[in-house]
Amino acid sequence: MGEKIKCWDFFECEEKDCAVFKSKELHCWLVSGTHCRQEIQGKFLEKMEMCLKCEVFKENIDVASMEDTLRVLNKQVTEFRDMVEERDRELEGISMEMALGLSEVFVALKEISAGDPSVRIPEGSKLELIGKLKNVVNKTAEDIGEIVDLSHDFAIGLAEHFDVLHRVSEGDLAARVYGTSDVELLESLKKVTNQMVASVSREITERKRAKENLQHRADELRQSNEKLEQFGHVVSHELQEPLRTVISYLRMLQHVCREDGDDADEYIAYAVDGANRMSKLIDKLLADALVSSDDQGKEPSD
Amino acid sequence: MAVEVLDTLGLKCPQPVLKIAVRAPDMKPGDVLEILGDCPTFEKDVRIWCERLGKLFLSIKDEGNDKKRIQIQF
Repeated sequence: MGEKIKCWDFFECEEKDCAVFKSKELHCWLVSGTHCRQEIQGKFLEKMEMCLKCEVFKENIDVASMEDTLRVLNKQVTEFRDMVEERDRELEGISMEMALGLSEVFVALKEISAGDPSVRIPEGSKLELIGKLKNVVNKTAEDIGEIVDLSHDFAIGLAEHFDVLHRVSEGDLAARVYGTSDVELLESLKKVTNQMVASVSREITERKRAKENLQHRADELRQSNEKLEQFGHVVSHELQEPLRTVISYLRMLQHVCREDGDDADEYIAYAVDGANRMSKLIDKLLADALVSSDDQGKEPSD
Repeated sequence: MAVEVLDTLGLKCPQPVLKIAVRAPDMKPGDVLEILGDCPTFEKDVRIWCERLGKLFLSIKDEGNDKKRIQIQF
């Protein structure tokens, strides 16, 4: 083994901030924070691979420094092992927290996907990411819940409107939509539907009333016609009978006057002619009465 | 009085209610409609529908696996 060397001298190092720069330290590998290779180095355990190949290490290592090196190495390995165990426990805790959180999230999502958006999970968690994930799940469930509630409102409202319109179409004019909803559109639809049904109901009632009035008038007219017909019959029959008597006696009188050569014959002829015309008028009146009687069986036109 | 069956299994709410609404005009007063459903809000929705439309919620039977059988009378 040759003479011991100083690293900064051997490498002509200019790293003034290095922990061993210009120092008398010959075991530079055991010093933390050296600036080997222009980089700030850590403990020996961290830079050991580099140090074992270094010329300074090879030149300066001896039994005494080997003992120091092993002691430092042992201490650093113990510290490192403690640190690894601590990290391991920490990671185990994180893994458990993550597994539990994800399980809760999974169950919640499963229930939401099955159609139950009322599910909520406690948002607290040691892991910020899991806490935020739970918060997102809850907010999503809340949003879906609002949409589902809205769709329920629409479905129930639609069903009630359908039922009312069906009942109206079956003649139930008293049917109305009564259900209330927070959805403005459904409330407006209810108002419009009820107004429409009321309007249709009013229109139908008025039409029924008008039809009844028309029927009443037709009945009155028919009764009037019947009376008029009866009157025509009576008048024609009652008038014809005495008129025939008048005509018969006028003819007899005309016959007597003709045999006597009296001028009264001419005047009687006028009287007979007049009586005959009157008889024809009565016949016509009777015929008209019969015609109107035949027409009564027909429906009155609009 | 007829008893008719309406299967809404697998349908998510509020589809069962819409199915009932479509079937309703064919039902006569006194008729019973038996509805099968497995949606989480199935019972609640049918109850609301009956209450709103003046129908009688007769009975409900839990048949397991979220499956329910509800009878309503018109």
